Amino acid sequence: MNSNNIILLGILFVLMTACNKVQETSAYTRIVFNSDSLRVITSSVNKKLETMSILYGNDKAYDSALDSTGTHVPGEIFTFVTWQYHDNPFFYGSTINGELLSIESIHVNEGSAIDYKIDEGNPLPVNGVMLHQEERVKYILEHTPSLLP
Amino acid sequence: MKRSKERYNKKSILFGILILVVLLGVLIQFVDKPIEGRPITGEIKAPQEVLAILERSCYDCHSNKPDLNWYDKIAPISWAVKKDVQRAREVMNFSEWGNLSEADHKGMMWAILNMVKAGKMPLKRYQNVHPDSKVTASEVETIRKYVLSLSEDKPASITKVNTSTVAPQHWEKMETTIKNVPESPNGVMYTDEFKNWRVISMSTLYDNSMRVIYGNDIAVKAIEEENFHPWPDGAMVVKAVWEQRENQYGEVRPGNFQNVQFMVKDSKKFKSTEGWGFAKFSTQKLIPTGKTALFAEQSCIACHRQLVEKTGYLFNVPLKVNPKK
Repeated sequence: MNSNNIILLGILFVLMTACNKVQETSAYTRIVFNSDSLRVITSSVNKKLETMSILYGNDKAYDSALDSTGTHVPGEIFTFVTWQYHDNPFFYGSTINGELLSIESIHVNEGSAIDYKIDEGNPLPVNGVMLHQEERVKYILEHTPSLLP
Repeated sequence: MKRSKERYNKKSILFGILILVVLLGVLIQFVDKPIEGRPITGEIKAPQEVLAILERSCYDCHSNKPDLNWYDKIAPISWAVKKDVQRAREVMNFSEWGNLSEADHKGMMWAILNMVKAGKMPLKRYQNVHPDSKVTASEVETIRKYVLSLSEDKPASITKVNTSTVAPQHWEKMETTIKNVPESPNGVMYTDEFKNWRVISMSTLYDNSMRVIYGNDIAVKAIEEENFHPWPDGAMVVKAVWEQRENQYGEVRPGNFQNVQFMVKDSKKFKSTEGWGFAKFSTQKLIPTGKTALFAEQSCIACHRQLVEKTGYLFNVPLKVNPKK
């Protein structure tokens, strides 16, 4: 068993033992993530890990996500934010995001060099596999925009 | 002699008052018309054990075949009963269930489950007079099992993987198909501005939809300061809703766009709905929900009022679970 698998098992254990019912206390606060000038490209929900994510991007990032040919231009900025989710305390059958788990960012630089950074927390596995940096970037950049009128 | 005359006078005054009260009591019986009888156009279909609960606890108000007690029909009690029944039928009517789509049936059943689970329905004032109407814990469980059976979390079929009916490159072109700014019957206008607002939360609703909820600056400030009672005028919250679609990683991504739902705070304009103007614009054509301005009073506010008074009537304020910085 390699170290990735051990980390993965550890994460799964914590998630499985964590109660989905949330406890709000005055020691905590309600946060609204500030994406600055970035807008939402799309969102996703992982029902196994009970997480929700939003991919934000600037105009160049949005255009490249829309284009889906895999070509990138300098100046694209992506931010991928992941949250733990919980049952909504006010409506049985609904879930809502809770603790902020991770913030990752991707900058496309001159010559399409890609700069990937973890700003906060740790990324979770995809389909049970911890991705290496290059795979992780590919996974994030694969997201296509949500359809909105 | 004088004393007995006084007593006699007092007696006759009391008797006169009594006669007057009885007469008034009889007269007020004719002041108001009885509850309007309406035809049963499409009865709800559900398992017998669920129907039995609904019939006993909900039908008096939420159907066209109320089985009211004799005292419910006597004024002035009958006036309050009539008002409740009229309002209840507007929100949900088991005798006119045939008008609902399968999705609406499912949505209504989830709302029913949440109302009885939270003890908000039947209304306390109704339960006080009709103690038999109380929904027991085991009956809530019966309803819960039925509701879950309607929404089994089936994995999306392989044909649905990571696709939409429209390819992404065509999405932006579709924006031009709407000529006029859509307007809800209560005056809430659609605006594209929410796309530049901050995301206040995300949510899913059973296996039916996934949502991203945006708030304008006034709403974000209200959340950060927990200024919910009341929310400040000018606050706007917009929820974009998509169907759930599973991708190759077993994750759920937004599929077809379903609707955007607006809540606009204006305490003067929207008095009858706790100061919130509700609107829903559906499909790519952003078709407004509701035939008249009354639609929000007859639908939206019922659940918001009963279940989320704590947050100033919003279901999706961010949870208070993150450390202060």
